[in-house]
Amino acid sequence: MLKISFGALTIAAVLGLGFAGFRGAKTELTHVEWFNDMSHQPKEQPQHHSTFFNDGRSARQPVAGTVPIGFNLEGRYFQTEGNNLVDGHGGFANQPDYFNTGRMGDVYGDGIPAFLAERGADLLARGQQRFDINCAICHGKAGQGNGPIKAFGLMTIRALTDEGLRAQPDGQIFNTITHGKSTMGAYGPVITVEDRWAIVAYVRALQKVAEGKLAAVAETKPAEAKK
Amino acid sequence: MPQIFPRGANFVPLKIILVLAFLGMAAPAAIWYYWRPEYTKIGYQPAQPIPFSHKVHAGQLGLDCRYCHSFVETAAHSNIPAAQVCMNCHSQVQKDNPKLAPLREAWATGKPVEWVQIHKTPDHAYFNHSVHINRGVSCVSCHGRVDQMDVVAQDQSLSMDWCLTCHRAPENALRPLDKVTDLGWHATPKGKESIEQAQENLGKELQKQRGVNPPVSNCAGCHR
Repeated sequence: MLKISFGALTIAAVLGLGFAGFRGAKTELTHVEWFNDMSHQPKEQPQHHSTFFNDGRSARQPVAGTVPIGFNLEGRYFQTEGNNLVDGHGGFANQPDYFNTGRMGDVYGDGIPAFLAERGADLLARGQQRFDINCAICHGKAGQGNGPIKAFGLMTIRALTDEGLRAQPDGQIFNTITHGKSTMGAYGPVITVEDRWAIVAYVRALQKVAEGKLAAVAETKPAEAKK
Repeated sequence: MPQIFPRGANFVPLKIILVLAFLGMAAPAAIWYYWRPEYTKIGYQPAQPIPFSHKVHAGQLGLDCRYCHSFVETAAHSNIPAAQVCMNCHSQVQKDNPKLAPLREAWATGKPVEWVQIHKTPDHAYFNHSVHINRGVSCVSCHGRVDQMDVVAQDQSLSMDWCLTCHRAPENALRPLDKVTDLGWHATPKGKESIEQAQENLGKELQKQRGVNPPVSNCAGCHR
């Protein structure tokens, strides 16, 4: 009888192990919650499914027809001129000034906004970090247009050090980062305004290095309109 | 008159006790092994609407984690990228791949791809990604070598006990800030140190330097 009992227990253990497996085994099944206490609260969480809103999203979109302060309906053109040369300090574009748009009136401006240019080497270091995260995948770490993605079929990558781009005013490069250009997507939604300017400063440094003017990297000039 | 019970019946109570004792040990062992998040949560690997490979993107291409999870340094929630971010490349690369159909649909309609969340903390625990990233706790501490996973699976239990293990000894996880998204990085041993000792020494130095003081006995630190 003892043999039968232990035999049965051994079989049960083997079956149990066979069914339940070991720790760390890969499974598509969600785990059973024995005590879920207050783990699931009826509150909305970022990027989660919502059972409250009709479209099933916890993240709400602006109501149709919402216009950012200072912008007109197209979202890019100036409504007032009073703000154009004021340096804003917000995270994302909230005023149509040079800091947020790269434009001075109807033309692109040149130069890094003064309160950022003051940061000097810190700004460049930040620009390098953000460039390596966001831009190097296509443009390459030195901006030569030869990032790792090139081997995967993205053929229309511009070298950031070419002559045409060296001639572009800073505001135009800022605008390209913000809204994208031809096959390049818009990076405005994922890079903050200050970081975009830091990247512009770093791209300028890369261009100077490519030209062999390393000493000129430290130079910063005040913002001015460029025709 | 024959005896009702055979001779062997004398041992029946002993045998019952033996079997019960075995059960009494086996059942807690099974519960200890199976009713813990180390079993119930580690290895959770749900199928995603698009078979996105972190191994290709983060490992092979060398994309920084923050290319897609762009607000992890500034927000409590580490964001899933918008379709726009995927389309930066996939408007051209693999643009007709049927596996990417849900992405193209999301791009066209604005209705997001419904990725399945793997790493969950209970709603009463307020985990903040940015706090950890900015103090030098690497992604790998909680998520494992995502850059080597074709399909992401949960690597750590994310139980409260597990949180506290690190909160009590943060020196084992702190690293230089520029190595936070470098998942393969480890501390360089000096002399005869092991990697663990090197990490501990570096971590203690960084902890002092950054004033890292994670909540251990203060419940409200994580449960607001």
